[in-house]
Amino acid sequence: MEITVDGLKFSYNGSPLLDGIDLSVPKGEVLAIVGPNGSGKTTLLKNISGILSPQAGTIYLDMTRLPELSITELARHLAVVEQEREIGFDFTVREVVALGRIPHRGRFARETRTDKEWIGRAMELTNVAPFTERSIRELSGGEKQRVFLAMALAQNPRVLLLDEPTTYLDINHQLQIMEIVRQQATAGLTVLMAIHDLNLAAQYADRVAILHEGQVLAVGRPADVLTETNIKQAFQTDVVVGKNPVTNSIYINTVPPKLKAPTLLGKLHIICGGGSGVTVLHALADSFFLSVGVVSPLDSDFQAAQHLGAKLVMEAPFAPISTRAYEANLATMRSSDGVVICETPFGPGNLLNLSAALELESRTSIYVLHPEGIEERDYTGGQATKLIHLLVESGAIPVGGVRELRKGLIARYHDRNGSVNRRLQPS
Amino acid sequence: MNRNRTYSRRLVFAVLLVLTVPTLLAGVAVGPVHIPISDTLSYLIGRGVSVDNFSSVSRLIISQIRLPRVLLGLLVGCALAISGGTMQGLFRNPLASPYVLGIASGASTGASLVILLNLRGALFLPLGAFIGGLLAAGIVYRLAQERSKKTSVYTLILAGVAVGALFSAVTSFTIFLYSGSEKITDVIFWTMGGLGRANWAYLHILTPIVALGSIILIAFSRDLNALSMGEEGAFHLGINPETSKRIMLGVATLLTSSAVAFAGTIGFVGLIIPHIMRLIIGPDHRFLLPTTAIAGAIFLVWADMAARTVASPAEMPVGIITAFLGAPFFLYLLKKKGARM
Repeated sequence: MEITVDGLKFSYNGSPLLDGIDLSVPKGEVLAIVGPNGSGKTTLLKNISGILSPQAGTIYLDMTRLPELSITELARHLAVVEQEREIGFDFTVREVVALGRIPHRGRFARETRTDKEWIGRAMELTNVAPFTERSIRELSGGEKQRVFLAMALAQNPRVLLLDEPTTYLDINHQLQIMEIVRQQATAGLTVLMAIHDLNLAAQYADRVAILHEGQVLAVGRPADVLTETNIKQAFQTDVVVGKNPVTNSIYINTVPPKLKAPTLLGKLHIICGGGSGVTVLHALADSFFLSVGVVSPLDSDFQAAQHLGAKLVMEAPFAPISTRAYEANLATMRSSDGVVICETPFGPGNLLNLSAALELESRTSIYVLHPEGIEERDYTGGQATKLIHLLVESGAIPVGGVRELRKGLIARYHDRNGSVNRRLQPS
Repeated sequence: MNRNRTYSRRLVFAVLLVLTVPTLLAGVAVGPVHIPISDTLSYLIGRGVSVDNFSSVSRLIISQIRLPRVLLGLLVGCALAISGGTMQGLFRNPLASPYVLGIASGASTGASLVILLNLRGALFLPLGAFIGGLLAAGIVYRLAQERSKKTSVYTLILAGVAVGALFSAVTSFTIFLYSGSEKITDVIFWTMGGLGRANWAYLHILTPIVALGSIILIAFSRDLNALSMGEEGAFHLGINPETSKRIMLGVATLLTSSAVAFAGTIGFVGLIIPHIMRLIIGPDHRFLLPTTAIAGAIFLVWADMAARTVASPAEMPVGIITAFLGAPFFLYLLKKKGARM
């Protein structure tokens, strides 16, 4: 049986949910409807299943317009499996599957042989026969969903509508349901399913329709429809579409959305080395654009800075700071709003980083962590100590710890910037 | 645990059918005046059989008091149980019953008003009760459905309690207004519930109502099964949920109200009987409703026998007995199922 949707419009409380849908599903085809939440997938299915009536447009089952069918006739042609059903009482599996025969039976009619055959067949197909007499309430989500699928198949429908049939199921049960549906379609059942999982859609549907803002954005073979551009437009998500090497169907990989750059308060240059900068870098990375120099690639500070995306001025390992690196470092410092000098052990190799700081005109934007402890970290015979003292005396700000540093910096640059992202405010 | 449902269904149904016979005999035999079973049997089987010691007093007691009373008990028990089972199915909840949903109170108010307004005519009483019951059912149903499409169980029960209380207040108020009137004992009877006023005229009205109503409900039992999949689920099975619900709610209300019209408010029969039967034979309403109807009939006759004998020769309202049995059971249900439903 063929489903044809022609110019379907449906609005709820005045706001249009479906705005001119044209679709057709030929006999024996599986059409998957994908689309973001609120794109109208369920609404479309409910229009086709007769629960909702469209404001405009027509739905045909073969050549018959939907409203011309009585509820019972409709139930003989069309069955529905929903995402999740709560069943009122403690029915056994068989009793639930037998409900599928209701549209084919009179009020007082007993179960006929045909009924029994259909019930048995549906239970075989869905592999629920092993727990015929179990209570439906004792079953797992996947088993339950197979029972509801069995009930739908016992209806002996020509059209099967599935509304997110696999949403709450684990991957094994998802595939089981899809395999059964696929098998039935091959046997001539027309299947229309709304589904979240683009990969299941790509793997099991003959065609896919993307629903976007109440309209069909694209419809066709999965590989033609589930493109990076279409998915980006409908879902606002970056994906990479590849090929599944096993099934040869397309495979959609999500790319984690890049976190939007937080409002940065300013640029800071960090003088560190030997791991003294790690905590400082982590503490400041969310609020400042950071640069680090001069460090060598073997330094743990280098790796932390690289991980946090800081700008790096580097020098080869175990080599003294070259003039070129020195100049680059100084230029970076000059273009920064502030400089932080960490509790770095200073030796002949990195003393030039301190000298560079002294070349800065504005000493008041230099922060020195624990300047009083410099003598213990001074491996230059007192030169580093002298430079630190010089810096502090000429206006550099001594700080007693990373937390205090962060607080002070944020307060200072926050004021300067005026309005600032709320989450950056010191707590 | 459900392995032998088909087997147990038939067995339970057969046992219950067989049990109605001793129930009928016992119901006629038990009472302040001792009437031997043999007398009862000979009255029931062959009226013409001449037995010397079968006095005319015995005959009178059987034909005018005991038999109508037992038959009324069977009819009322059947009506209350089957409408309780239907409502539990309709609301997908084992806590629903004509009593909990305020329908019995509404019917009681309607019946009281008919008596106090002195409306004569045999049909006025069930009619008044029916209007009162329907009014209560309509209000409760509306209230429970207003909030969301899904009928909320808590709203349903709260609305039922509140509407029931409101109608009880109306009944009490009319009692207060007419406290001088001799009609007042009649009205008080309604609030207690009992089979003591049974007579053949009642049976002539009640029998067709209960028979027809029960047949309609049983005819709709597959709709109830479909509705346990939810309203949309029922629709997909070819059942128009609104039509089915209206018909079943209407018929269940009619049955409850007619029972209340002739026997007052007898609580808990409509709650415990369907539930016990569901535990035994499962929730398939095509079997549950007929079984529940017979079980309810038997239960009420035995409860009435207890009411007649416990304080003999004085007579207790049977509502007290059913409440004694039913209220603890209801609390048990509420504790066990309340959270899950």
